[in-house]
Amino acid sequence: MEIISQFIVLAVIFCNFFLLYSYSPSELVKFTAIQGVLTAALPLLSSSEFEYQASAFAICVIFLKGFFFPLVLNRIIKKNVQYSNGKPHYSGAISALLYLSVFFLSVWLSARLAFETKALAWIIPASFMTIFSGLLLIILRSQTVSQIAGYMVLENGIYCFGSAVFVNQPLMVEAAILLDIFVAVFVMGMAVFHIEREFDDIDSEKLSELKEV
Amino acid sequence: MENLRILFQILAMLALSPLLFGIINKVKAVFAGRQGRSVFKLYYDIYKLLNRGAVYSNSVTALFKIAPVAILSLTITAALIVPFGGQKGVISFPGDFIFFSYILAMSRFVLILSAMDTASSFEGMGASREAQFAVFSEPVFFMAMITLSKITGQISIYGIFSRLNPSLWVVNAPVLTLLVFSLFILMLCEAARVPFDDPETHLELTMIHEVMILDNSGPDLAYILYASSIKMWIFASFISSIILPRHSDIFWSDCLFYLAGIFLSAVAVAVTESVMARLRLLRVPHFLMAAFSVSVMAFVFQSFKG
Amino acid sequence: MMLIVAALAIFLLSSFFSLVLSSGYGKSNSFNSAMSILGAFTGLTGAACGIWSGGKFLPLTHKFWAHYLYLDYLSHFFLFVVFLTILFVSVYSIDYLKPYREKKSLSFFWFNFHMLSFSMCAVLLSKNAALFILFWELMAFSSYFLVMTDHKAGHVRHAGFIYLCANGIGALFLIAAFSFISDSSYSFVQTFSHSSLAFFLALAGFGLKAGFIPLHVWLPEAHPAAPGNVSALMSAAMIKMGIYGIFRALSILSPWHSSWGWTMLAIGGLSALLGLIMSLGQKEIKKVLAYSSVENIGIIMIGLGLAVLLFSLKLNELSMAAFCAVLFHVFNHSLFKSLLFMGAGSVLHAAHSGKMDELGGLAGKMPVSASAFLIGSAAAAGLPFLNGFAGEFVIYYAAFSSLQYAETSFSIFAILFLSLAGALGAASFSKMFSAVFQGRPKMKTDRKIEDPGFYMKSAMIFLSSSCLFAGLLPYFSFNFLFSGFNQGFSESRTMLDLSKILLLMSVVYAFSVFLFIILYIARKRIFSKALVSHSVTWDCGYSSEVPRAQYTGSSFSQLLTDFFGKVAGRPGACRSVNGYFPSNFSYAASSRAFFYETLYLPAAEKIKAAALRFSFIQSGNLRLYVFYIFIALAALIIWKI
Repeated sequence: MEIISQFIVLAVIFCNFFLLYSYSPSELVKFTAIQGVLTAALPLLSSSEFEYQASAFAICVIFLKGFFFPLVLNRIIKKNVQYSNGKPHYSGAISALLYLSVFFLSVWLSARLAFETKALAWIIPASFMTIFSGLLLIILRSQTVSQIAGYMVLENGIYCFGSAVFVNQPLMVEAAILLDIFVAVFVMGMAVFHIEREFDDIDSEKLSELKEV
Repeated sequence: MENLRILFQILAMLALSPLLFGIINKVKAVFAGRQGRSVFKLYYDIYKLLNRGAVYSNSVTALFKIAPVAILSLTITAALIVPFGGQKGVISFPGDFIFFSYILAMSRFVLILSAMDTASSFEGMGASREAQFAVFSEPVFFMAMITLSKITGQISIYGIFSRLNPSLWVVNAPVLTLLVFSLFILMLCEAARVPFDDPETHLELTMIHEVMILDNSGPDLAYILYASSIKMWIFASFISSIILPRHSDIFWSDCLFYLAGIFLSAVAVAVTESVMARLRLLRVPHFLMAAFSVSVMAFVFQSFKG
Repeated sequence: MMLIVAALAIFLLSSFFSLVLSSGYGKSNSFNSAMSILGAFTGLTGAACGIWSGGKFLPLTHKFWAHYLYLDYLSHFFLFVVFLTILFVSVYSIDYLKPYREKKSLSFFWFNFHMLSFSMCAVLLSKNAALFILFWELMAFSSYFLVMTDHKAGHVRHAGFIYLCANGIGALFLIAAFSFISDSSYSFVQTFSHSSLAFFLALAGFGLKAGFIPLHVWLPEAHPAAPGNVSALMSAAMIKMGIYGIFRALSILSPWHSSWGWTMLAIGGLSALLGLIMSLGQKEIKKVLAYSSVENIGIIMIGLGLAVLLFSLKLNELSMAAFCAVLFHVFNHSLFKSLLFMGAGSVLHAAHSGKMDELGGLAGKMPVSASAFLIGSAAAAGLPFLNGFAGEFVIYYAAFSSLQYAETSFSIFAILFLSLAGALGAASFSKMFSAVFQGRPKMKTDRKIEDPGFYMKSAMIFLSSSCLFAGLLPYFSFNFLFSGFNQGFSESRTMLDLSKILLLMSVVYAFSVFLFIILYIARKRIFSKALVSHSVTWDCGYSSEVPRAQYTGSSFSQLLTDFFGKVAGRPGACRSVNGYFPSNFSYAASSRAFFYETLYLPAAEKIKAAALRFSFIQSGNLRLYVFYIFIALAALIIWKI
């Protein structure tokens, strides 16, 4: 059990790597979904006894993150077919540099914060890394789908962190996070639809036209 | 006995107040080398007016018609607070001078409104000036009262004036002199005499009090004239109670001193009117502020003594 | 007090009804007014019982209430004032809002009205700072929406904006004050204990709501812009929330420093004088009334300052008398100020203009409104026979009684400020009344000018009779309001003396009225035999009567505004006259707001210029903003670890 959990954590870390490298929106959505499923499966595997509530909840989350959200996002991608190429402005070397710096930052942070986790020593750095890569996705990419994906990756990281640290009441925290992301994706989906209908474009660079001065 | 005294006070005040204007006019005539009108002229005027009819303007409302009645009743109410001959006024309670000042302010308010009711520019002019004078004369009165209250440690008019006696004058002569001076100026302002207003003419230069009653006629005018004479009496009695304070138990001698004081203040008004000219209108606030500073000086003298 | 909680529930429910049923009952004036009247009446009985018993009648003992609500004598008093105002204003609103109904749906208006009533009462009931601020902000927002009812007009939007700014800054000050109050470990420089700092912050925050100088700038903008009943409610009830806050701040913070008293006295004196001076220069009815509110708040602050200073000199009885005077004036002011705004509202309804230069001669056609306005003006000027005088008299009495003690130089200032305010008030209100209601109409109009509808008239009649009652018989209102105060009446000799004096005053009033009746009967008898005729006003022989020749409001106050100069807000803009036979000449006089233009606008311009230099931070780039968030979070985390 523990070995599988450790592998899953490793897989999460590598998902981040792929996320930072890929620039096709469908790839982004795919990796986000994979990461979401992995982090949802983690608490199931880490606990020794079988809890009905936790497993039911985990199945819900897997359904949402693995099936429902990618469906919504793929519909958005299909509608905006001409903008599906979201190549970032920076080269691959810089992506690697960013990835490594995020890695070191998260390791340092978890060392300073000194959380005690049960056996999975790498889960805290992994969650921090996921959070930071999500943030990087939002900041450095201008395409809307990238931003939504970045937000979902952020939520993945928070979910992972929550499942690691909150031993006593994981359900409440995770339900809150889930509600958060559900509403956010919902709202963002609607917003993208309306923005696209209004402005014929979903590139967030163009939004700076609206500034005041 | 007490009730008789109060009745005598009221009757004396009501009967003798029109005499003051007569005395003033007579002294002014003496100064000018004329024979002048009779001392009792105001009585004749009031009687004549009461028997006449009235002419009302088309622009006035009911306020104009009841204003003279209100003014007279308010002035008589105020006059009853003032002490007579070293004794209490009919109405006396702690803080009554505040009440007194505001009753006079109310009668002034009613007079201003009745003047503005006529839609006449003359009366509006008088009303506007009257309102302005009031702003500057109220603090003078209150500052004088503050000083008197501080000297005597009392807060009712009777309380203050009963503590004033010649021995107090010996001790507090400069303070009381300054106070008499500022109260005299206040009397000139409130009773509308030179240098604030010339009651003899109705020219634009002197359009303040006389012009506000331009449209009143007949019994209304009689009421208003009577009210202004009572107002003069009120302020003269303030001055008389300060300059000639006497509180023996013999009511009659006190009364004589009191009436002598009133007579003296009327003569002083007449002398002032004869030797001074009317002030420029824009100078009036400055003059009143000078009176205020005289009161303040009196207060400062008082505080730094004790 | 269950009645009060029930009243609050009624307000809350009616607010939701008006929003939910926005097509039917929600829009209806009578339904909403009826609910408001019901709630106000319920609360009024509860508050009256509370005042009479000193807050001890049927207290809220259930644990749930006791955790959130706090009802003592002070809350009951202000609740009484607020409920009374809401009652009368609701009756007034039934007719006042009729012209609005054709233009738009009033459900949002009534929602905000009920919310304002609810939040005002809830502020008075809150026990802790969080609830207080919550309801305070609710009050601010609902009154903002009420002020912006006519939001299509530019000046209304401008007024609403200034009001919103004032509310926001006030809330900031309040939050700062509350944080200082709760944090007892913070100590400042030696001379200034932190309770003084908390008090001055609270004074600033509450002052922005109460509206004393120099924090008053929103008052003369918001009150004319709002509809008449809203101005009445705001001026009579909402401004008092600021006073309530200052009372609470005084009760929480101790010991009282004498600098607090001096500050309040100075602020009050300045507000009283400058408020009236500025009102002398105004040309619109509601602006004059707004500045008069500033003046009355000034009088209240004079009383508060006097009370604090007297307390610091250990003259406890006189201090309590001064506090009671302040509360008394709060009560009286709410009565006559709502009456005045109602009168102004009926003038606006009839003549559709609030500018005094266009009105005139309305008294003949609108006798009820004119008499109500006259009573309100006399009360606002602090003249006897009406209730404005009673509160001022008690402050005077406290000040004069303390003169015998050597250290009380502040009483002199209080007395002088009050006397000047009284005289200026009489000038200002006689100007307004005469310009609007007396004389002849200055501008021809085809409108039919008549008294307003039944409900407006009845509200005004009720209020004027209560003003007369409270003025002629101040003994009753004084005893009713203050018997339950503190340890009770009978232990304080000053309060007993005061009630005896007020009784004597009523006797004097009665005597004066009796004299009036006698003289009036005498006059009638004279006139029954005399010849009475009517003619034109004496015009010195000038044959054509011109209404434009009469004294307008501005000419009436010209002597005073010229004396006080720019503060009164009257810069005349005229080109200078050249030569001996000038052909073209123009003169324009406008009333400006002194503080707004000399203090706030330049400050706002400077702040804006300084802020624009940093506008590069706002690049419009969304992702840069997320980066800012990330930097801020990272900085916080790194700082903490």
